[in-house]
Formats: sequence, structure tokens, C-alpha cells
Amino acid sequence: MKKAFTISIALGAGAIIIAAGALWLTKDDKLPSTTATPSPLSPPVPDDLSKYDPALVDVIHQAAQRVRDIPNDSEMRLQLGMVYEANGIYPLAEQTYRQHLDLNPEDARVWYRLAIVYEKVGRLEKSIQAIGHAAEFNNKYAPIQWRLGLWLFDAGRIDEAYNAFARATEIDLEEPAGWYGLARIALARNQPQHAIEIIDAHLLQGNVAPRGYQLLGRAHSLLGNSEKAKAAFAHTTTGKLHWRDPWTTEAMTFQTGVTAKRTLAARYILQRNFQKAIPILEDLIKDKPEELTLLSQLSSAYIEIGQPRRGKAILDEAWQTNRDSFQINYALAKVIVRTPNVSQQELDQALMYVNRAIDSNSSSSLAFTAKAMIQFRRNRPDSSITAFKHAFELDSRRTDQLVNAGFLECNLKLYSDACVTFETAISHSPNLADAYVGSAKALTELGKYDEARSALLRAQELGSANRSRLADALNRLNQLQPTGAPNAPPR
Amino acid sequence: MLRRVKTDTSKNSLFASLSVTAIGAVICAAGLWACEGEKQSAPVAETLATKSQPWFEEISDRANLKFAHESGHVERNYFPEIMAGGAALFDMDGDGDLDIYLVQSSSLTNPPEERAPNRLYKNQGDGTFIDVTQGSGADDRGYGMGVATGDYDNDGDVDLYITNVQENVLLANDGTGIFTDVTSQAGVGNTSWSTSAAFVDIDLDGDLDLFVANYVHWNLNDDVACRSNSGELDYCSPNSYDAPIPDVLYLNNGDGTFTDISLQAGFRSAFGNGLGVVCGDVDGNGLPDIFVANDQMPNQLWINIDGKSFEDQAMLYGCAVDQNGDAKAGMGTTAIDYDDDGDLDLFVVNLQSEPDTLYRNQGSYFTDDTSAVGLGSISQRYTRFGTSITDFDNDGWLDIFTANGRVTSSTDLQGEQQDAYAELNLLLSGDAAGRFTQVTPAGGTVEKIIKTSRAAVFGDIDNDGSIDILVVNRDAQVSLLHNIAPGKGDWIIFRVVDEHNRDAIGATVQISLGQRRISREVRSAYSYCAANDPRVHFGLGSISQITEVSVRWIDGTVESFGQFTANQITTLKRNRGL
Repeated sequence: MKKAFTISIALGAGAIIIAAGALWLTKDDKLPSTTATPSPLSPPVPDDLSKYDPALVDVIHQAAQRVRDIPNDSEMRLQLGMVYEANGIYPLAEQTYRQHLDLNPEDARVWYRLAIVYEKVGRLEKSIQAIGHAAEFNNKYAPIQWRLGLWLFDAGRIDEAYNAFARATEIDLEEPAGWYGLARIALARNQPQHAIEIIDAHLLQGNVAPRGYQLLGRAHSLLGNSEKAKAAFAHTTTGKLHWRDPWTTEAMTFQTGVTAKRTLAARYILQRNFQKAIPILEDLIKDKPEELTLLSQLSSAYIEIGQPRRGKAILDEAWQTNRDSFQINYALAKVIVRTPNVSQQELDQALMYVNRAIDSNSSSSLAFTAKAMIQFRRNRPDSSITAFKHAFELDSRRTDQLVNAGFLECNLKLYSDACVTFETAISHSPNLADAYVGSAKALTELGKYDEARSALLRAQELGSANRSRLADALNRLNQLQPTGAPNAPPR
Repeated sequence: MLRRVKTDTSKNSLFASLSVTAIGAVICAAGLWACEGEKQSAPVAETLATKSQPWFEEISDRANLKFAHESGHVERNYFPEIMAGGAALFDMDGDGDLDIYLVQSSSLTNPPEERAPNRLYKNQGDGTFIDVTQGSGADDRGYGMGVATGDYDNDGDVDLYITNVQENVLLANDGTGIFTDVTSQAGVGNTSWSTSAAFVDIDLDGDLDLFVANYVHWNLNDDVACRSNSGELDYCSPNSYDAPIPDVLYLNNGDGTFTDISLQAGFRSAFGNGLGVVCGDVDGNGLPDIFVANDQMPNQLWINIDGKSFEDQAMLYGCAVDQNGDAKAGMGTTAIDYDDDGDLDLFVVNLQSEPDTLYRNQGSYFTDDTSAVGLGSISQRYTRFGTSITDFDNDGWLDIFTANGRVTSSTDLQGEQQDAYAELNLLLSGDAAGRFTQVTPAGGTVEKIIKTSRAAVFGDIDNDGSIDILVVNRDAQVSLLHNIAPGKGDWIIFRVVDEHNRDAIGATVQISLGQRRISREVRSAYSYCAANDPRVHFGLGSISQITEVSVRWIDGTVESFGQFTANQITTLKRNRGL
């Protein structure tokens, strides 16, 4: 009786294992389909292509046809999968990659892509399973390991994550993602000193440095060194970090259509390569002449390459149908104020535009900055000062606007007001060299020579002041109080 | 001791479930095709066994709560349409039960008079609600986002502050549920696109100040047409605008008016696309701090320096970004002492593919405990908005609910529904070790609810000692989730009121259960665009006697109220203790 019971338990357990294993490949594990797949080798295509970008539809047709032509060529199928993945059609990417794996179950690159598709739709456990297969079939590609580490870390499997990150660094000693992961694990294990060692050795150079400093700040926080933590955090940025991953870079080259063009244009703009951005933007605008963002970007690009009037012409046309748009009004005001040799009439027009922009968004610091610049060029220093100060009030990170206001106050001989303005700027941005220069200038005129010299010395120490302003302030101080002058500013 | 109720239930269920699974597996072994309908693999059996009974039933029809949020979407995707939907649970007439205020959005292109109004529902005490909007003065017709509740004028009743895409509105309550629009007199008509707001006494002067999170500069003239990667028209992300707006702090002047002190207080030194707000004394200096969850920008932790000035120390405290160093899409947020160590921890929910973030307070900084408590992988599948960490089954351990719904359309449709933004909500059960596991059936409800959910509001609607949930769904009827968690433990609920007879927002109730001390703050503003039941709820498990209850009032005074027996709702009034 006891033996029979044991056998039945064993059978039951075995059946559970078989069933559990089989479930990995059942349809319930897959992303819901957007189409019916007629046969295992027939490439999946969307039921309704009309909603997609026409350029993308062409690419899908071509890629799917290549699969139909050579159904056993796994490379063609991989390409189709990457078309779907790069363009956000994840259920079909999953189906295509699975088809590929039916033909070639040991292709690490496709397991890897499948893992990333699962990550895109938030199915972390399935990502981990798939990337585990990728790791099985390729032990030389570091991104497999650091991604596995990232996901295991998210899943709370810290020891396994540690091993994965460590393997990534073994594969490629220069690979920062692995070291980054190891430093994070050290922090999670409350080993800040160990984290600092890793960070110091591997994460404070190149484009990874801002993130390295962020980890460093956290390590110092854990150690209770708040000053060191603050100093480290001052070097950080918070944009998305992209680690080197050639397979994924290749997959993203399959991005097609409007999104791809937009991405490329944005990349060129970020790189300040406006010459290359302009034709792409013009091409995009052909299809979407009403899209203000594109028009604004194109206009800015023309301004940047020294053709502000051409930039303005684009905006003028857009303004005819979008007279209340903040974006267009602000862009028009900006383009005029940045154009050399504009007439008084054009400046009046710029003021009208910026006031309309402010009517639309009275909390925009940028709009008030533009207004201040316009008023300055219209020779209305009082109004300019008010606008600069209001720009700062709306966004107190913009202490540069207070400095502008302070120098204008000096021009108007309002030295006491200027002192207050520069002091406020310094209190918000203690390392803003121009604020010290301005303060010195105002203090000199008020006869407070020693304080002025201290301020100039501080500006020199900081080393980032506008050279001509610094020289002017120093000369004026030396003129009024010739003795004990600090060293001349470096050229 | 505390685990007894759940443990006993678990053992029985586990046995039953294992038997069923084993039999099922043998049948499956005969033909794998037949197993395709089975959704769960063997390793899930234990989870299923312990959590396989629903914790909530959806009763909106039964409760006569017919309100359906309208996004106003027709053809073009206007950005606010995908973000809106707020609600409040509050006692509008002082009769001891929670009434409901539902924020309507309606059409962005129609003038206000042609929009559907916000709605006020009175709790009739018999499990049903009645729409009392007409004549109540609460029928604001702005394109609504959320609502905050608080007795700003210390007259003993709860007032409403409604956040809109355009001008916000302050409605003063006369104590009977009749409201007067006092926005202009009070000077709180913030015209930016506001989301969550909170009444909080930042300077401890005895009246409630008002903090308002603003999202993105947006108006119809500047709407951007966004497309998905595949070219379909879809909703934008805030990054398409790159136009975050500073948040606003209004100081209560004590005479029915407020002064905007945002600039002087330091709130212009950092800002983002604000969505979620929660207030509490994070650094233990006795002053309430303010945490803002920002969408795709670093969060802010405004540390209250002296009651008048604040510094954003989120980066220094380690709660600006996640453990990867990424600024995530912060939506809803809450604060609670989840590890019983006496300080406030923070919880933020995020976009699909981004795990929630649980920031554990270590005194002078936070550690990201998301993975450690099991939240790293569960949450990523959904885009989460409204949320709370609450002991829903009264077992003494905190659970988590999130109201979910995408912000960009998906072809990854769940079930038969046709809403490309709809998702299941998520209910996670917490255990004594502080880890969370998913409750099944998914979402914790008898029948699956797959909608585009936004605000989730938490409170004991029927005063039965367990926390119910009201969920606002985009372009669909609200879900009223009545708590029917199996094997619920003992409980106690305190209404904590100050000398003005108003909810003592910011006060902390501590109870002693043998060696264990549990602290909870009096708070209504948390989750997403929501105002929650401010009463303080404790699940007690099997403990029926609380050895000590004390309240730390916002001025730092600690008052003891002695022993209490479980399973009662009681009021702790200032100066009535020891």
C-alpha cells in the first residue's frame, strides 16, 4: 500500500515536471498574436497593415517575401524579426524569433533578441529564461551576461546576478556594464567601500563617468559621508545610459519610416550637425506640414547654420494658422532676437510674439528670457531687467539670467541693486564665476574695494568667467585703487 | 502569532491544490495539447494554493455607483485624455461614513458649460450611494484630473481642491455637503495642468497649507501629434513636450486666503513632470517633507528646512532615480513605515518595463529595496498609476494594490477587451518577511477587471474594518472593490482629530502589539490624483488586544490613549488622552 502510494506520488511529480516543461513552449507563454500563422514556416504578417507607416509596410513586405522565398534561411527570418522588434510590433517579433528557433534552436543571437522583446513588454521572468538559453549557446558575448545580471538583480536573485556581472567582466575587462553591475551589487549588499574600489578603478572615465559618480555618491551616503556624496552627485546626469551592445545596435538599424527619421534628426541635432538634420526634417515636414515641433526644429536648425531669415520664413508660414501656439510664438521671438541687424519694427514684432507666448504659458522661464533679450535690443533696459529677474523667479536654476540683470543694473548705475542681484545669484550658484565678476564691478563703483578684490579673486579661482568682463572689472578696480591688485586674469 | 489566521488557511488550501494539480498533471501527461489551456505551471502551485481566493468583489452596480469617466477622446489623441481620472473618499457630512467625489474630464474641445460635471455621491449607509451632485455646488466642469481633501478653514468639515488641466478649484464645505467655490478669494486658482495635490501643514501653525503638483505645459494650440514606432497615431510622452512646470506651494494665511510661496520656499530650484505627491516627515526633524513622483524625470524630495523653506535632496537621499541610476516614469506614490523601524519609506509605481521602486528609509538616505522584497519582476508587465501599501487582509502584514493601464496603445491585448490601453490591476500579498507575491485570481477580484485604470482610492466604505478600493477607469464605469479577503484577521481603525475637530493630517499613530510597534500617519493624499480615507487602519492578525496606543501630534507632542480591544472604529481626539 505504502509502495503503491509512493509510485503514484512519483508518477504525479513526473507528470508535473513534464507538464511544467512543456508549458514553456505553449501558446499561453507567447505574446498575443496580431495575425494567424498559416503554417509553422510561413512568416507572420500583421492582419491590418493600413495602420502602419507606409515605409514600414514596404519593409515588412520585402522582409516577409525573402522569408517565403528561402524559408529555411534563418538569417532572413532573423531580419524579419528585427524589423518587427525595431518598429515596436512585439507579438510578431516574438513569433518570428520563435520560428527561427524552431529551425535553429542553438542560435544565441535570436534567444537574445527574444529575451529583449520580452523585456520590452515587461515579462521579466521570460526574459531571464530566454537569455539563459542565449548564454548557453554563446559564452563570449558580454552583453548577454550583463543583461542577465541586470534582470536577475531586478528579480532579486542577487547572487546569480553577481555571477553574471562577473562573467561579463571576464569576457571583456573593459566592459563597464559588468563593473557597474558589480558596484550596484556591492551597494545592495551594504559594502560601500568595495563599491568605491570598483567605481574608482572602472567607472569614472568616459561617458560612463556621470553614472559612476552617481554610484559613488550613494556609496558615500551609505558611509555617512554626506559632503563627499554631495560632491559626487554634482557630477551626475540622469539620462538613459546605453551600454555597448552591437547586436542590439544592428537590430535597431531596422527601424523604418517616420520614427527612424525622427530619431536620426534628433541625433544630428544633439550632435549639432544641423546640416545633416535639415534635409531629414524637410522630408518629414512634407508629410506633416502641420506639425509644429518639426517646424520649430527646422527653423532652429536654419538659425544654427547662420540662416535665421530662412528659419523665420518657415515659422511665419506656420504662424498664419497657429497664432496662439506657445511653441511658434516663442520660436519666432527667439529667431528675431538672434538675427543680426534687425529693424526696430522687427523687434516690435518679436515683442508681440513673445507676449503672445507668455499669454499662452506664463510659467515659461525661457519665454521671459527671450522677452528680456528683446527689450534689451529695443533699448528698454528697465523692462529687460524685470524680465530677466522674472525668468529667474520662474526657474531658480537659471542664475545666469540674474547675472544678466545685474550687469544691466550696473549699466544703469544702479550699483546697490546690482550688488543685491549678484549676491542672490551667488547664493543660488556659488560657483558661478560671472556673478563674482559682476559683484566686483558693482562693489568697485560703491567704493568697497577690498570686497571687490575678494570677489575677483574668487572669480579667478573658479576660472570660468567671461574673460573680457573679468578684465574690465579688474582694470576698473585697479584704476580706482591701484595698490594690491590681484594677478591679471590668464589669457 | 500574527500569522496564525493566514497560516491555517494556507495549509488547507495548499493540500487541496496539490492534489488537484497532481491529478491534472497526470491527465496532461497523456496528451500535452490538452494542457494548453492550463495557465499555471507547477512551480506556481504553492502561490496559487495560498492566494487563490479573491480578495475583492466589484460592486459598483450593486452600490448604484454608475459614474463613468469620460476622457473626451474622439479622433485626435490629446495628451490629457490618457492621464485623467481622479476621486476622493471623504466624509462630506460628518455622518461617519465615506462619501465619494468623482472627477470628470469630458471634452477638451468643448467649452466648460458643455462638459459633464464632477459628481458627488452620498453614502446611504446601506451599501448604496446616491448622486447628490445637483445643487451641491460640487459640479465643477473643468477638464478634471484629481482632487485633494482637507479642512483648510478649520471649521470641522472636509473641503475639496480639484485639479484640472486648466484652472484648479477650491470648494468650501458648509458641513452638510453643500459647497461654495472660493477659488478666487482663497487665491489658489493655479492655471497650469495640475495632477495630484495635498493639504499639509508645512509650518505647523495649525492650518493646512496646499501643495499642488504640476505636470506639463500643454494646451490645445500646442498639442503634438505623436506616433508609435510602427507609425500609428498614439499618445505622447511628456518628453515630446519637454515642458515641465514648477509645482506650487500655497501657504494658508489662516483667514481663508493663501499665499503662493513657491519661489521663496525654493520650489523653483528643481522641477519635473509631477504626477504623484505624498507628504510626511521623512528626515525625522518634526516637519513634513514633500515627495513628488515625476514622469520620466528625477523625483523630488523636498526636505522641509524650517517650515518655510525647502531643499530638494532627492539625489542625496537616493530617491531621485532608481538603482540603475535611471529617472523613471513616476506615476502614483505613497509613504508608509513598511519595515516597522519608525521612519517613512517611499513607494513609487512606474511605466511598463520599469519595476516599481520601494525606497527604504535608512535614516539619512534611502536604499532601493525593490528587488529585495520581490517587486522587481512582478510589476514590470503593467503601467501602474493609483497605488497603496495597505494591509488588505488584516493579517498584520502590508499588501500592495496598483491600478494599471497603458499610456501608449498595445497590440498585446489582454483577453477579449477592445481597449488597447486596458490592463489588469495588480494585488500583491505581503508576508512577515516583508516580501510580496501576486494574489490570484489576478487583480484579486472575483471576475477579471481589465480596464484603463488611473486613480485608486482607498478606504473602509462600509465600516467593516477592511479597506475597500475605488478605481477610476478611463472611458468606463468606476470599479468599486469591496473587500472580501478570505480569513481576514482582527483590525482597528482610528479617526484622529485635532483641537479643531479636523483630521490631524500628519499626526502619527503608534500601536503596540506585544513587542511589535506599528506606526501609521494620518494622511489622505497619496496614490494618484486621489484623496483617500484619512482614518488610520491597522490589521492585527489574531491579536485582539492592543496594549498601547499613542499619537504623536504634528507639533511633536505625544499623547497616550492606553489600551484598546480589536475590531472597532474609534476616535482619538487631541487632549482627551493621557
